[in-house]
Amino acid sequence: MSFVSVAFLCLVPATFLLYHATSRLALQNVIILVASYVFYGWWDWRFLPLLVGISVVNYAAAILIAASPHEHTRKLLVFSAVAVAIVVLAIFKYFSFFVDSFVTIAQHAGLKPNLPTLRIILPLGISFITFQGIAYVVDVYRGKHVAERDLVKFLAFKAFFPQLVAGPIERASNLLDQFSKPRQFTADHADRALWLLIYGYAMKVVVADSLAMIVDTLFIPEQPFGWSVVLATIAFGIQIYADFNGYSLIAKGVALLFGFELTWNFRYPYWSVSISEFWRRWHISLSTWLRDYLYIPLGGNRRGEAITNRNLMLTMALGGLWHGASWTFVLWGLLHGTVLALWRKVPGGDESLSPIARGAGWAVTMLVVFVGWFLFRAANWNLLVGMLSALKNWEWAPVHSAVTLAVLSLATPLMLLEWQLQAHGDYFLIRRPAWMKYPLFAALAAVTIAASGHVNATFIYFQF
Amino acid sequence: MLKRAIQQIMNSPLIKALRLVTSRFVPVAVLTALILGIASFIHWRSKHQWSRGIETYIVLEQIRRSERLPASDLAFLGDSSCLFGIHVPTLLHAFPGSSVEAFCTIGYVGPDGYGAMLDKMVARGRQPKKLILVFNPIQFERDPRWNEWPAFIRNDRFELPSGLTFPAGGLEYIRLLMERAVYTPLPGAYAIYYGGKDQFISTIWSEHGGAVEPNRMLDIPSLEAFKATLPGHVLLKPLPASKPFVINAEFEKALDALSVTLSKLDRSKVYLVISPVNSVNAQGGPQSFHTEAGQRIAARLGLDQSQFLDTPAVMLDILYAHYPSHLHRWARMIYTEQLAKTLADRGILEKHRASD
Repeated sequence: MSFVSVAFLCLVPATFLLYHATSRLALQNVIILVASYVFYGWWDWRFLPLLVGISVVNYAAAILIAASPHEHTRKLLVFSAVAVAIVVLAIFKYFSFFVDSFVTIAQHAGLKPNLPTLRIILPLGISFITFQGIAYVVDVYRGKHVAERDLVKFLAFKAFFPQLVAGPIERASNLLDQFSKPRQFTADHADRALWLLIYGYAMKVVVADSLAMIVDTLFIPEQPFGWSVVLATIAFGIQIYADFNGYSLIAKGVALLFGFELTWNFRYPYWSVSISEFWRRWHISLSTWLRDYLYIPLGGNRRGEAITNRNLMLTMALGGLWHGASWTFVLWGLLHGTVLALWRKVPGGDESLSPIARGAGWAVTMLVVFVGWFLFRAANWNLLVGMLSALKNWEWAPVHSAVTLAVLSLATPLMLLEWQLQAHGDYFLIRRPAWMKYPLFAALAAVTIAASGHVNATFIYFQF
Repeated sequence: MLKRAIQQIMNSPLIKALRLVTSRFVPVAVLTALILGIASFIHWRSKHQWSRGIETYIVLEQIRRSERLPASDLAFLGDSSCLFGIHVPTLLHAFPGSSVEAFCTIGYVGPDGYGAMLDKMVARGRQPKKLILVFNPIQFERDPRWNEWPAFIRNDRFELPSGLTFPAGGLEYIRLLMERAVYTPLPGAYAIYYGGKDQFISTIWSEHGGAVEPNRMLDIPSLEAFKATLPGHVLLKPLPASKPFVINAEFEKALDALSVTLSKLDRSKVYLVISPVNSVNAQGGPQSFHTEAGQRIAARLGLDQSQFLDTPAVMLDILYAHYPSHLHRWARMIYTEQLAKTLADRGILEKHRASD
C-alpha cells in the first residue's frame, strides 16, 4: 500500500479510530500490528509469511542470545541470525544480479555457462526489514537492548506500517521501547502531525512526482544533449530527495497520530559543506546503521590509514549495493567511499572551515553528490553509456530552458523553507498564529491535490 | 446521569483524539475548499478550452499568430510538412528586408481549414501580399472525420469551454498555473527536444511559424556536420508495400472551399508547392503524385499552371524525421535553400535594400 493511495487514506483514519477507542496498551499494539499487516499484505499478501518469518527468526534469535551464558554460543547465534537475514536478502534481491554478473564474466572469458535463470519478485521494503532486524539482534548480543519477549509487541515493532517499507531503519532502543510505554496523543502531536503530513505530501506529490515525469523523459539511452544529462541529473537529485524525505516526513507524521516518535532521516543534506557532513544529514538511519554494524566492526578508523580507507570503501560499496542489484550502485558507493577517504585528509574537518572554504566545500560536495546521483539513476550500463555519449553535444535546446525553469521553480521555495526551518526550528510554522499558518497549509494542500493528477504511487526507496 | 454519560464520552480517549485532530485538520480542509472554490470560479470565468495535445497547440498558436502579426510580404499555409519543412529564417537570410511568416498547421486542418485561417486574415486586413500553399501527397487522401478541424478554426473553438465545476475546475486552474513553471512533458521525442508545451509554442513564434520535428538528428549539432554525413546516400526504389498517393473526393471538396476564399485575394499572387516525400515511399513515381497532382490542384484552385512551383518531389530518406512528410531540422534548411532559389528565379521574393 502506498502513502499516496486511497487505500492508505482510508487505513489511517480507520486505524486511528480503533487505536484511540482503547487506552489498553496491549490492544493498541494488536491494532497497530493488524493495520501493519493489512498495509503490507495490500501490496501482495503472499509475502506476509516472509515478513512474519523474518520477524520470528529475529525474535527467537534475540531470546536465545540473551538466554545463552556462553560467549561462543551467543556469537554463533548472532552470526546465524545475521546470516539468515543476509541469505533472505541475497535470494530475493541479488540472486539474478549475481547469476547475470557471473554469466557476463564467464562469457568474457570465452565460456558459455548454462545457468538457470530465476526471476524473483522483490518483496517490498526487504532491505529495510532485514537491516532493522539485524540491528536488533546485534544490539541484543552487544547488551545494548534486552531481548523482547512479548511477541505481539515485537512483531508490531518489526512491521510498524508508517516506516515498514522505506524506513527510517529504527533501532529497538527508540521504536521498540515505545511499544512498551503508554503513548500520549497531545495537541503538540496533532500540530506536528498536521505540518509533517502537509509538508511530506507536498514534497512527494508536487516536487518529486513533477520532476519524475521530466527526469524519466530525459534519462534515456538515446539522449542526444549533454545539457540534458546535466539538468536531468540535477532534477533527479532534487526528485530523490523530495521523494524519500517526503516519505520520511509522512511516516513521521502518521506515527505521531498514534503517539509514536520516529527518528529524523534527513537533516537538510543539500546544505552540507563536506561529504562527511552530507552523510550525517542524508538517510541518517542507513548511514548510522552502516557505521555501527559494518564500518566499526570492520575496524573503523582504529587500525591505520590503509585499513580505514579500505573500511570506508567497503562500507560505502556495500551501502551502494544495498540500494539495488546493479554495478552502477556499487560505483555510486565507491565514489562516495573515495571522497570520504579523501576528506579525511583535510585537516580540521568541517568546523574549521572559513566562510569561503565552506562555500567551496559546498560546491565540491554537491558536485560529488550529483555525479553520484547520475550513477544512481543510470541503473544499467546501456543507459549509463548512452547518457555519457551525449556529453559530446553541448547544444542548448528548448527543453533545457524548460528544465531549468522547472528545477528553479521547485527548488527555490524548498530552499527558502529549509533555510527558515534551520534558522527557527523544525516546527516553527506551527507556532505561528492560526491566521498565518492555516492559509499557508491550505494553499500547500490545494497545490498538492491539484498536482496529484500525475501522482506516482510508488516511492523510489520502496524498491530498496 | 445523562450528563455524566455525556461527560464520560467526551472525556474518552477517542473523543479527545478526535477533537485534537479535527480542531487542526478541519480549518485547513475548509480553507483548502475555499481556495479551490475561488480557483474554480476563476477557471469558469476564463472559459478555458480543453486542449487535445500537440496538434491543438499547433493550430491554436497559428490562429493566434495570424491574428496578431501584421500582413507579411509572403506567407505559407499548409500541413505539417510545411510546419516542419519550411525554415523561414533561411528565407529571411536569403531575402533581407522581406517579411515572411508561416502559418502552417497539420494535415487534419486541410485546404478548407487553411481557407478558414485566410478568411480570418482577410477579415482583419492582414492578408499577405503573396501566399504559398503547401500540400504533402500524404494528405491527398482526406478523411471526412478530420472536418472537425476546419470547423474548429471557423468557430474559434475546438469544443465547448471546460464545463468543470468545483472542485475539479479549481484543481485544473491551479494545475494550469503550475504548468507555466513546471512543464508536463510532451509525448516522445517532443519531450526530448522541447520539453513542454510552452517551449514548443515559443519555438513556433521564434521560428516565424516553423518548428523542429524532433524525431531524428538531434544528436547532430550543425548543418555542416549533417552535410558531412550525406555522401554515399542515394535515392532508393519505392518499397513494394508503400501506398500510392491518390487525391480523393473529400480532398477535392476541401480544395473547393479554399478556392472560394482565394477569390477574395489576388489569385495571381498565390502559389502552390507540393512538398517532397522520401524515396522509399514515392510509389508511382514523381509524375503521378507531384507533377500531375500539382497541376490538378492548381486547376481546382483556379491557379495558372505556372503558379505551381518547381520544387523537389522526392528527397533522400536520410533527410526525413518522419516518413513520408516531415523533414528533420537540418533537412528543412537544405530544402528551404532550394525553395529560396526558386522564389528568387521566379521573382516571388526579392532582396530589399535597407532604405526600402
